[in-house]
Amino acid sequence: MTAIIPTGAPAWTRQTSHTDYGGNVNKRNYMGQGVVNALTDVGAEDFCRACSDLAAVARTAPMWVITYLCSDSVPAAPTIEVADGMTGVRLLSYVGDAAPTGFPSAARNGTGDVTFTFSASYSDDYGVAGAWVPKTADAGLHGATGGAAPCVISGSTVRVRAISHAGAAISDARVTLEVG
Amino acid sequence: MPWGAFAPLPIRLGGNPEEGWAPEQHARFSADLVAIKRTAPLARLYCNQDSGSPFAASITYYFGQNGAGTLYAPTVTVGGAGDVSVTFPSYWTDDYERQHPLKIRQAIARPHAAAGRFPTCTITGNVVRVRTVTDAGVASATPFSLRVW
Repeated sequence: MTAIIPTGAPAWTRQTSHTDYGGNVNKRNYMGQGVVNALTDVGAEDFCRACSDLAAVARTAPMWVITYLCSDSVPAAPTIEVADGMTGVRLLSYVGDAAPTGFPSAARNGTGDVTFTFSASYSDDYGVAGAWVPKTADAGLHGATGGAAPCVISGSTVRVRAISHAGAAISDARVTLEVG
Repeated sequence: MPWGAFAPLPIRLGGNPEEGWAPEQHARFSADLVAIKRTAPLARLYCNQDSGSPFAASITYYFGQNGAGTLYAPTVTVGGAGDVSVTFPSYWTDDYERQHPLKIRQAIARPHAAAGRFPTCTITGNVVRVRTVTDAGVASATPFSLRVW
């Protein structure tokens, strides 16, 4: 038996449409017979809605959501505490300069200043590769010191600086970063 | 045999584009659905804060995987100006009334204000505490948007 190769490209390429999922504007019920029993039948209308909605959420879903802790008191790469990616979820923390396969690495530039590096391509659960570069980023601070965490995207990297309301770098900041 | 609708269950993959569901499409559907689930926020909400005395806060808009609307929203308590704790339950209930353990691990808060405001989050258990200050570092009752994962 030949392994299945999914249609289209993975979700993070933002190129999939409802047709990749099985939708079709001319979809119709078998022999024109609509749902007889809602507990056992899948209507073409239900199915088309599922395909269209999946395509919609695929266009806006984050590629990565990462919470990390800067290491400034003892200068070192940050610790990634949680990493939710479209290609996998890691709840076990890791140090940014020793990233597990498939997860982003992170380097310390200075106090509260971290650069994440992502792969240029990721593969889905079927091994289909899809190119990806970060295009949007949003980061929020944790802790008691009010401030901001502006992001700079450059190629496959995202640089985040944790800055207090007074404009000073925050030491040992914890930050959640969403990248799309 | 009175087969109704698109296909009988269990669905048999195959057929033509107008009446069937190709295995390749099913595979793409499945892979992308899982990919999206991995990063989808558990909830996003808008919390309004009243700077009057006593301070008050309420969730005005709520969109969660458990449902949309304030009926499904978590509870809020106010610790003072610009200090709101959003408490999520220890489990959530899906559309099939199945309960799933809930663990908040990540959060981002964003202020809604005409001037610079700076919120932060602290996650303790399933409580997300959002504190907001001005650019002078003074606590400020400021509406905010919150996303949690």
